[in-house]
Order: sequence, then structure tokens, then C-alpha cells
Amino acid sequence: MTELQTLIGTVRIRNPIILSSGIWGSTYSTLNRAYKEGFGAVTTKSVGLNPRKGHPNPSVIYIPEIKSILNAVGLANPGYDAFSEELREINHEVKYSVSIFGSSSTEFQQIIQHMDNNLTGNTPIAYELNLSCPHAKKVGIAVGTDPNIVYTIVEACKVRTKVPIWVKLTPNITNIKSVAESAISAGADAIVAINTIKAMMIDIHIKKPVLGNISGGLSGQAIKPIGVRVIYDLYERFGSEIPLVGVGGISSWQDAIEYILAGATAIQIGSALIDYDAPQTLVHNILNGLNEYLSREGKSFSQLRGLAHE
Amino acid sequence: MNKQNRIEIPLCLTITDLVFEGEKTATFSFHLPANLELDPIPGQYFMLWLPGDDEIPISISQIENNEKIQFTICSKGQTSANFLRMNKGDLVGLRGPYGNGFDISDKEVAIIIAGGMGIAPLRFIISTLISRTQKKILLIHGARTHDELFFKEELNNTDIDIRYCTDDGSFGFHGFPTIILEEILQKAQQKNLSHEIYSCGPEKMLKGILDIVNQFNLEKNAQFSLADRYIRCGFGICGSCYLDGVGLSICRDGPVFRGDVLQKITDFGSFGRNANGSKYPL
Ligand SMILES: Cc1cc2nc3c(=O)[nH]c(=O)nc-3n(C[C@H](O)[C@H](O)[C@H](O)COP(=O)(O)OP(=O)(O)OC[C@H]3O[C@@H](n4cnc5c(N)ncnc54)[C@H](O)[C@@H]3O)c2cc1C
Ligand SMILES: Cc1cc2nc3c(=O)[nH]c(=O)nc-3n(C[C@H](O)[C@H](O)[C@H](O)COP(=O)(O)O)c2cc1C
Ligand code: FES
Repeated sequence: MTELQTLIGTVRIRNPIILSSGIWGSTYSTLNRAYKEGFGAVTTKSVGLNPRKGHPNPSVIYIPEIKSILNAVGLANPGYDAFSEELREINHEVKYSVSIFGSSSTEFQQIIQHMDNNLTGNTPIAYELNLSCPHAKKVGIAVGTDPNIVYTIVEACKVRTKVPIWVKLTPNITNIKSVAESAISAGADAIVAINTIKAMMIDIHIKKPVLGNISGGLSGQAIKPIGVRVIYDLYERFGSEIPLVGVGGISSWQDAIEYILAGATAIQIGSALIDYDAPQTLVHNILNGLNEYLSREGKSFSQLRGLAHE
Repeated sequence: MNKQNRIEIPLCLTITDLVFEGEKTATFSFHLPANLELDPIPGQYFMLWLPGDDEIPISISQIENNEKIQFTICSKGQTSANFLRMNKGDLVGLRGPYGNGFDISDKEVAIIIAGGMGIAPLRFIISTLISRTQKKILLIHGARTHDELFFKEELNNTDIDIRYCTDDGSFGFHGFPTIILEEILQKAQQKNLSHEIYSCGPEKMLKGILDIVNQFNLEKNAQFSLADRYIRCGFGICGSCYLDGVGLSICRDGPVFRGDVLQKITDFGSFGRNANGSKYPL
């Protein structure tokens, strides 16, 4: 077995496969279970200041032809207060990061401060700032496409906490590099990309949009080439200066390697879980494939990063 | 096992028939296109979309020839109430079947316990057991009041044994179905027959049933279909419906669970979660 322990900045995880935000991670039990089933780390559902019930259903639709999911959950969450109580129940061996959304730097600060105070003893490995959800008003993408706002938010979070700050970016933007640059210069410890891509679906019989929110975000296999390009571009620009977590459409070891060769330090998986009754098989298959690839190539995992650029 | 066919993107179908079972409950019929071959299992559910409103999980109440499918909806809140305002000919979006469904089992006697709307998915398992097995079937049919004992006539026309009970005493035994269950299991102990228990109804009632089957060491032979819960995606992805404890989803790992599994679910019968994920007492 090759060594697959992975270092994301100062954070060491047992393998490079992380459960992405909004898949499973709404309760402590699912986070515990996902970690037990083999993920290197798990990410919580994004949490905000106040309880939100999200958009009306249909809000999550699977499109089998392209093995992709269209969603407009709308950042449903119980609010940071109740959610921090939930997270206190997480088993202590579980490496988890808390995904946070907000509309201003003070909102982000307030949530982070509360989490820091409430989660002592079982601190998250990172706060992942969701600056990229495409289907909720005033938050997510609304703050994540302006480099100045991104700078202010990341800087505000950095001064409040010792926990690493990861910044999750949207591909729904012409120049992701300038937003990433702001995040990095404000002190971001890693960049996570990509979130879902704006999309919608219309029913041709009733002649109306299917999603309760009209439009939503696409994830799954259809978006993989887009995610790979984003990671490639970011690595091209920043090299190994900043850890990159690649996400979007990964469902096999080949996909994972593609992201690593493009420049990712680690990867996240979400939509692919739909094909499995238990994620254990998926994680296991990817780790096995990765190991075999590395031994065939005679390389260590960290040597693989960014090789497509050479 | 081959993967079951499933409608993933809501398929808009017209309501071909709509029959009121009571003041606030109606059965909706649809014709599925012949080529779909969905082969639903009793206990599975569909997501029913009311365009312009919302989408809710509803168990399959009956299906004939893989074609004529029925759902029985009880008005509980906004969307279910709006379903009851629909008419024959209106369009509803269907996706499914989702969830695991009941296991037919090889036991000699089937004890079926329905509480209120719980009769809907059980109606489908009853007809399946009648047509596919030689089991002796005993139904304990409970509701708050006489008018809510849905499908009474249809079920009386079969040759299964039925014990009725109502909370208000307006029909049958005055009290909960759990009291009858206990009585039956006590008598059954003397006979040398194997039993399988199928139940659906309010979670509090299911909890009561679990406590009883535990006393008789029948928890592994008891199947419970949970229906008091919020469902969003239907395929285990979004996290909305996961139960506390081992981390099982209702929408995919369930909605049917065996008693020994339910014992490990720490919020069973005590807390539900609403759309934002907050807990509320059941
Ligand atoms: C697998 C499954 C199968 C089902 N099958 C059927 C079926 O065959 N027929 C049928 O009629 N129904 C069935 N249901 C239930 C049905 O889906 C719900 O009644 C429906 O979704 C309610 O939606 P609504 O918009 O009408 O009501 P909502 O406005 O969503 O409220 C409905 C109920 O939710 C509960 N609730 C939600 N949040 C809270 C809270 N914060 N505090 C207290 N209570 C709360 C209350 O009990 C309330 O009465 C099934 C449910 C599941 C999960
Ligand atoms: C149902 C659903 C809910 C999601 N919720 C969130 C969320 O709350 N926060 C977030 O940052 N990303 C969210 N995402 C995006 C995923 O974390 C991920 O970035 C995206 O799905 C691409 O990865 P995938 O193709 O592996 O799913 C969600 C995705 C889906 C499908
Ligand atoms: S409803 Fe989405 S996980 Fe069950």
C-alpha cells in the first residue's frame, strides 16, 4: 500500500477523499457514518445565521442520462446555534470541516466565533466558506464573485480563528483566478473548487420549470471537465503555493487522478454517492485504483500533483 | 438483483380517477406508460409534484398490471390539502418508485397493523400477500374514528381476518391497535406458527408496536414503514431525512425498517426533523 495520508496546508487527513458539503452532512450521525465508511474527512452541510427551510420541492432531481444532479435546496439549515449543538455530537476521531455561508464579513465572523466557542475539544479541521452557492439570494455566489468582498470576508475570518480557512469558489464567473487571488492574499489556507453550475430544467408538458426555485445548480459527471479546467487554471497561476481541493463530477479513481494531475491536493465527492447504498465501496474503489496507479507509475501521491503541467 | 426501473425526472400524468375515501382523504389514479416496467414493491413510495406548489412523498396504495397506479393522500398541511383540491384530468408530476419496500418473508402468519393513513401502503402489501402467498393474514385496522377506517368495504370483501379499533370507540374495539396486537401475540405463543409483522402509521404507534414485539422477541420479524418524516430528494443524497444513531436514511435505506434496526435509531418515536433540519418532538 502506498502512503495516501494527505497534507492540506497544516491539516493531515488519512486519505485524500473528502465528503463534499450538502451531501449527507446535515446531522452528526451521517458525518460519523461517512467517516466510518472511509472518507479521509467529511464536510458539513452549509450553515448560516438563521434557520432556513430552503426552496420548495422539487429541489433535487437526478438526471440519469448525464449521471448528474440538478439541485436548488437553497441552503436549508437549522441556523448556527442549533447546528453547533448537532456538531458537538460528532465522534472525536472524525475529521470534519464546517461549511459556512453568510451575506457579510460580520455574519461569517459571528458564526465562526460561535463554532470556535462551542466546539472546543473537537475542533473542526477547517471552516469552508461557501462563497459559491448559485441558488440562494444575497449569499454564496452573491458575495463570491466580487474579489473585494471575498478579500474582506476571508480577512475577517482569519483574524477571528486559528482554524484553517478554506474558500469554496464558483465556476459561474468569467475570471475565477482574480477571486482566488483575493482569497489567497487575505490568508486563505486552501481553495476548494468547484461548486455547482447554474442550470435549470423545464417540463415540456406543463411548460414550467421543474425546480421549485426555477433555477439551480448542476453537479455530477457532466461538470467534471469544467472542474478539472478550473483546478488546472488555478494551479497554472498559483502552483504549489496554495493547496487546492478539487470537486465536481468525481466518481472513479480515474477521475480523482485527473484532478490530481491538474493540480489538486485532495478531492471531494458528492453526487457520485447516488450510485451506492453505502459510500464505503466507492471510497474503497478509488483508494485501491489510486494505489495501483501509483505503484504502476512508481510515484508517491504527492509527486502526482500538477504533473499535467510539466 | 437487477436494478429496478425508476422515473427520476418528474413525469407529468393526468389524474384518471379521484375518489374521496373520507372528508380529508382521497385516492388518485394514474396510468403509467406501458413501457416503463417499474415493478414497484409494496412499501415503496413516489414523489408527487403539484406544479406551482411543492412535492411530497406518498406511498403506493395499489398498482394493477404495472399500469394503473393509485395513491391515497390525506390532508395534513399545505401541499396535501392542495392535492385534495385537484380534479380528474389535472396534471401531477410523478417520480419513483423510491425506498426499499416490505419484504414478503416466508412466515406462515402475517399480522398487519395499520394506524390511520398507514393503511395506504399496507393495502398494497395485503393484496400482494393474498395473490402471491398462502399466508394466513390478520389485519388490525385502527384509526381515530370510524370515518377514518379507509378501504373498509374493499378489505371486508377479502377473506382476511380483520380486527377494527378506534380511538374514540365509534367502531370496533375502543382503544389502540397495540392492545389487540399484544393479545394476539400472547395467544399465538401457544400455537407453533411463525409470524411476520407489517406495520405503518404514526411513529408513536410504531414505537408502541416495537416495544411489544420486543417483549415477544419478534423484533427481527417485524417490519415498520415510517411516514411521519420530511423527504426532499428520495435517493439518499441531500441529508434531509437521516435518522439519528447509525445514520440511516428514510428515503433510501427505508422507509421500511426491521425492529432490530429501529432499536438502534435513537430519535425513533421521539423526534422528527423539519425542512431546515431542526428537531421537533413527535
Ligand atoms: C415514505 C413516506 C410515505 C408517505 N406516504 C403517505 C401516503 O401514502 N399518504 C399520505 O397521506 N401521506 C403520506 N406520507 C406523509 C406525507 O408525505 C405528508 O403528510 C406530507 O408530506 C405533508 O406535506 P404538507 O405540505 O401537506 O404538510 P406540511 O405543511 O409539511 O405539514 C405536515 C405535518 O408535518 C409535521 N411537521 C412538520 N414540521 C413540523 C414542526 N416544526 N413541528 C411540528 N410538526 C411538524 C406535522 O405533523 C404536520 O402536520 C408519507 C410520508 C413518507 C415519508
Ligand atoms: C443536493 C446538493 C446540495 C449541496 N449543498 C451544498 C452546500 O450546502 N454547500 C456547498 O458548498 N456545496 C453544496 N453542494 C455542492 C457540492 O458540495 C459540490 O461542490 C458539487 O456537487 C460538485 O461535486 P459533485 O459533482 O461531486 O457533486 C451541494 C450539491 C448537491 C448535489
Ligand atoms: S430526502 Fe434526501 S437524503 Fe433522504
